[in-house]
Amino acid sequence: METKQIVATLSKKMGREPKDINALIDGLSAIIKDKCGELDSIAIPGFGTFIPLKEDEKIITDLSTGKRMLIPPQISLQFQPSTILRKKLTE
Amino acid sequence: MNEKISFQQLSELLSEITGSSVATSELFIKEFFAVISDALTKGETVKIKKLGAFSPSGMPDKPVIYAPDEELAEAINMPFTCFEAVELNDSISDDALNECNNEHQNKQSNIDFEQENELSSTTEELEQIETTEEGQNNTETSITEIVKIEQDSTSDTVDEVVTKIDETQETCKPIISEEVLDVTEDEGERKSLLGLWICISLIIGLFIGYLIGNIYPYDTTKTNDIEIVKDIPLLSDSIATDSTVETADTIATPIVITDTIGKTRFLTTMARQYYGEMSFWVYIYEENKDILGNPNRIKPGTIVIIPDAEKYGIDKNDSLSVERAKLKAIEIYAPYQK
Repeated sequence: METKQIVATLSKKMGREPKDINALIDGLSAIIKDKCGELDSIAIPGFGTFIPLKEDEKIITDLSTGKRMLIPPQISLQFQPSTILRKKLTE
Repeated sequence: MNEKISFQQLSELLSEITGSSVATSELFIKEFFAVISDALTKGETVKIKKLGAFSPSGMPDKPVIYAPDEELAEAINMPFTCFEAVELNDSISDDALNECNNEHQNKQSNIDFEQENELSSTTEELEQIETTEEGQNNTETSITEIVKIEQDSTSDTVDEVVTKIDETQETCKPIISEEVLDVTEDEGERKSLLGLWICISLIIGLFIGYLIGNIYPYDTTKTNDIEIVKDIPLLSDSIATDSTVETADTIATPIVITDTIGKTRFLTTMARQYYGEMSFWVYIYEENKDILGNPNRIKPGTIVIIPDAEKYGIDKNDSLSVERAKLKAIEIYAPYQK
């Protein structure tokens, strides 16, 4: 399923213009970008939680070549599905 | 930071951004994620522009695989985007990385030791001065004691003379007057001794002042300050010297630029602002390493000094300078490796 299909489905369900739905999706992604950039997590009931995970820097050693790489720290966005979604998917 | 945004807060934020009502925002969020979860239960992969892709994995421990949109992932990882994975040289061993940390600690302990030594030497000097002063006082007291004893002895002799010979009072008078004259002579000696001591101390003070003036041949205003600073310890305690030294230092210190670490303001953002390149954050860290620990765990609100670009040879257009900064970053991170 692509963005276009989702926008079409939502505009039908909500009775609003696809343009408005696109604006709402853009707004939602902007909030996720801002809040997760500040290391805040966003919980959506019945769906799951978006969690920014900060990993410290580390040294990785390639056993075959013996070369060591210094991997810098990073913040990655993780998604943790809620129990309702988990149940739906495992059924 | 590390807060959990609830559904209510999210819908309020969305209504603020889009200008729609809170009810519409709430409805949209509910419907939007309901559509995604429906598609996932059907086994479909959902790709949303600017958000990412959700796909069912079929694994019970991790039923949904989420891959954030490239732009979104980059924006979230913004503070660390300037870093790249670097290959470590074979010459850098684990021991060397540990030594780097130890050296840093040793340097600090050496500085502390030197400061202690300086303090102890100054206290020793002060003690010496005090003992000489005490010696002076002792001599003064001894002189006064002698004078008192002599006075007592003279009064005794006078009494005896008075009791034994009543008629010869007139003859006694000259005796008393002679003794009194002796006492006044002793007092005169004491005064002259005191005067001598004052003269000697003044000459010593002037001589030391002259020597200091020769050692520090600066401009007249500065040399005057130093002479005052050096003269004071001979006459008074160390507190006065410290305050005068501090005032002399504050006059010489140049203007210092400072900045405050924030939730979204890191050393890298400061480096980009002041030097035009993120990689130069290492020099801000280097300047403030005494107050900063792990560069990834700096508390927001920490005030840091921004060093002058010339001090560390910072030049964003020079690739060598950028490379040096990147290598410096490896050195800085080395002690904090697990």
